[in-house]
Amino acid sequence: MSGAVNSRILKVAFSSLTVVVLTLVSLIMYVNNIELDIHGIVLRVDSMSLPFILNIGIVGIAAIISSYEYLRLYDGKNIKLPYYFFLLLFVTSMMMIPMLRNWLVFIFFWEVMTLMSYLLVIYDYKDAKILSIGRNYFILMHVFSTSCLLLLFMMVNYFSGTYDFTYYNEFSTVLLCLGLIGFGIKAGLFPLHFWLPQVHPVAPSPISALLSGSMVKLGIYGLARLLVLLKAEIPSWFFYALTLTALINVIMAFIMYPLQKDIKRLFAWSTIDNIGWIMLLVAILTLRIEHAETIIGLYVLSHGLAKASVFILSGGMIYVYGTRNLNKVKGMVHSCKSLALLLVAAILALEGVPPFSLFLCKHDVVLNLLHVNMLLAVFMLVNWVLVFIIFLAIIHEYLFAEGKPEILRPLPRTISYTALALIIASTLAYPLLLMLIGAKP
Amino acid sequence: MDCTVFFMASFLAPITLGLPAFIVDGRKADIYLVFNLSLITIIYLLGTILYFESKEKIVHVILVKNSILGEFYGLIVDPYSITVGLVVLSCGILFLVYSIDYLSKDNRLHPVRRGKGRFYGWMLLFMGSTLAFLHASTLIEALIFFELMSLSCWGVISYYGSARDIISANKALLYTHVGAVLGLYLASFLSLYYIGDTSLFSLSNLPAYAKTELLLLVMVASLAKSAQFPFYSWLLDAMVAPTPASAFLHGAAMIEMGVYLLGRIAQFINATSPIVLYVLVLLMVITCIICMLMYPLQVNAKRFLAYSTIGEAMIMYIGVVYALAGSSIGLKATIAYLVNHAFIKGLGFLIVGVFEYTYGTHNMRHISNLILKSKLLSMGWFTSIIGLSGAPPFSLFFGKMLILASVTSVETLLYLIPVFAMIVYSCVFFIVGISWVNRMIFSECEEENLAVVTKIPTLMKYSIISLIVFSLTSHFLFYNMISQITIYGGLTS
Repeated sequence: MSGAVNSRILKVAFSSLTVVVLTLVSLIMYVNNIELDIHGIVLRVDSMSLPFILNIGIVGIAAIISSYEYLRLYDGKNIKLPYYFFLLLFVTSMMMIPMLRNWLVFIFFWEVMTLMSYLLVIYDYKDAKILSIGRNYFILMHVFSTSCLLLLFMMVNYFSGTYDFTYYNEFSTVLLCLGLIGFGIKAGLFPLHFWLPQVHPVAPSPISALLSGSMVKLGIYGLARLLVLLKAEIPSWFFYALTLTALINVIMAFIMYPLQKDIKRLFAWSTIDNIGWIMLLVAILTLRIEHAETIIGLYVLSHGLAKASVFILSGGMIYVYGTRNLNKVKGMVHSCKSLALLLVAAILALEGVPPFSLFLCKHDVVLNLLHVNMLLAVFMLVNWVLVFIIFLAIIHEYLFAEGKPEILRPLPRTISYTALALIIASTLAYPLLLMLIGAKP
Repeated sequence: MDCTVFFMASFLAPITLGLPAFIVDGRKADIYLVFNLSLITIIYLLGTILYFESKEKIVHVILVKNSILGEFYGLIVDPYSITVGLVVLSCGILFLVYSIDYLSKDNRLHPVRRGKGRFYGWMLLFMGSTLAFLHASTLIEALIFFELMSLSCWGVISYYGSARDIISANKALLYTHVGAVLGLYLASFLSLYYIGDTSLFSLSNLPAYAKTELLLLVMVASLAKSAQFPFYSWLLDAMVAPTPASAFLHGAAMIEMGVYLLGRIAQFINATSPIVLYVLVLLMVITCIICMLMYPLQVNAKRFLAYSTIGEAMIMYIGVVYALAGSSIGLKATIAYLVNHAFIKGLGFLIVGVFEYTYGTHNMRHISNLILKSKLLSMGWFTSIIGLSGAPPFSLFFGKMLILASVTSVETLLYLIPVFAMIVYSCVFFIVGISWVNRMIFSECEEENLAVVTKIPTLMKYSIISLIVFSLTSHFLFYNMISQITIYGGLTS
């Protein structure tokens, strides 16, 4: 038994070290403006990709470390999949994506990411339900995301003669349609959002943190990058379509929140909600408003870290109480105080309460929307407050309620400390990132 | 020394030295096979090295020439033929080494007690004629080895000797022979009639209308060889062949040679005739639809892979279509796809071979929970199915991207149809494939009656491991050679 534990520590150490090194290297590449050229594959970190890379790096490390104890849940099941190998490949391929400057290599890593996410989602493959959800997820991604992106890159290659990133002037309508579907499904944009609340709950919790905190954000990255590269005038229908789908995302999440009893489903809907917010920013980006890219980056980083912390804490809840059902943990604060308090902090961070960074981000979104449409801005502001009230009610109804649920196992330190670190990072994300991006001329 | 001597020797050796294999048996046959394989490998690699050292783009020698038939017998060595030649060689070696363990009395589906030598003999003949076909420089020469390939294909399909095997073998021979008669015989006659020569180099001198006719004729031969609509049904019956032979037939030899032939003609003929493209695109779309409709119905792993071969060959033709339409990347894309497909498809068949060997079935419904039984088997099956649907990191993805990149001279929207067909086709294959992967590798079946831990014989194990490695790396290994492939239209020797 001790041999197995030792080898697990080694795996955790090796994978987290790799991710730390990768994050540091990309940070150095950004600060010193270094461009790497490996056999024609150009890697560059600019101010648009930096927040995504930092987000993936930090959430990746947290996911790897919190997996150490979390995986004990699967100990007796005789599972033969190499978890850390897949996890490391998953994180690495995700970190590569924002650095690339070539669509061919982009889709290569994009597909590696999808494949690895499938293999990680079905980690608990002995359960037939998980297996079929994982299969449906993979099929959905292949049919919508991969096919559309392949066609998109074929068009790009056809018009510009190369897969490298260049500026495009022609056929923006077709490119935008394909991009909207291909990247939109990854991001969980209406009407292609339905996979999110199914897939996130069944994956192991550290993986849910990565899926929700990092992977869906790459859909945003792809769309934003495509929009930046399109030099032709972006048709106005695209702005309206994007705003409309974003609004539907937000409204649908608002309706679904009170109906959720499964903690991970609840947070999956919260991801859909926040994707709506970010997509509004992307819509603003199409109007060529200054700093929209920066705000996207800030929002992504702040939200990614907060979302990862709530998912890792849901993992902690599953570990401690053996259930995802919120009804069974009523009065959590009386039996496992640290978990309950951390969850409260994480939920507050997620809902944009000061001093957490997401407050500043949401504030920025509303401010920018004011320039575009007064009504929209007011609607988002009201929505923000109402969602906060819903979550406050959830905290009171479940976490602070009467009762004392039974503890199966004590809360492991790896989970509580990583969640705490993520919450702190989420507080500091806004000013630090602004400093980093601002530091460069 | 001239490299062509080595290439001559590389296919003359298996054709002649392979014959004694028919009379030896058992351990002796194995040893004789290994001797032959190493001989071919050494000769072919020496030839390849000499070719690349000579720095010539295309080496062409004329061996027999007379006034009636023009250039009758010659040899062409260029990146196009060498790339495919190396694939045929490496796949052939891996599959034959695999078959040493596969053809044994321990095989649960097809125990083999005697007659191993006969199989090796046919396979060596198959390999030799394929290598010769690759380097042929005239239509007549191509025709000779085309027929020799069909003959050895007949030999391996009918190997087990039951009545059904012989009917299937006859059918395969008949279809490909009819294709050859309608296609290559008439094409050679046409070429002789107009210019008195069947050399590939002289094809560009044909008058424009004759070029269209010749392309249509060669297309018939190619489609018959690579089992496209309307000639596709022989391949499904050919499933009765021993599995290593099926792997060779599907992965590296028979099916691919049809594509190779049309690509070769497209390389030399210097013509764009829309009518050929329309016919080809129409047939390709029909093939694609048949495959998509048939996939969900298959429960036999070999038939499933056979439909996949038909569909993948359809994708290879897309590159040829674009090459004929004037794209410079078209042929590269076809060959890249061919190379990467060979290893992944071969891997799929070898895995099915292990199913037959250890579980005695190739019915996919009877196989479940592979991951508990053997990690290697589940890895191989996952690689081949996900790889065949063109998902990275497996190298077929690069072939697909090259085919997408070859869409550079689209004049009408019609030329975009094949690409759409390819994408829809891959999605359907992916959906069916991933369902089987889930069912066979991960899920537990109730009527579990198979051995818990699967022992794979050593040689089979190592062939599978090397194929997994190849299916991850083949694009990078062959990329240099593939990028040297060019169109020679109008070049005279």
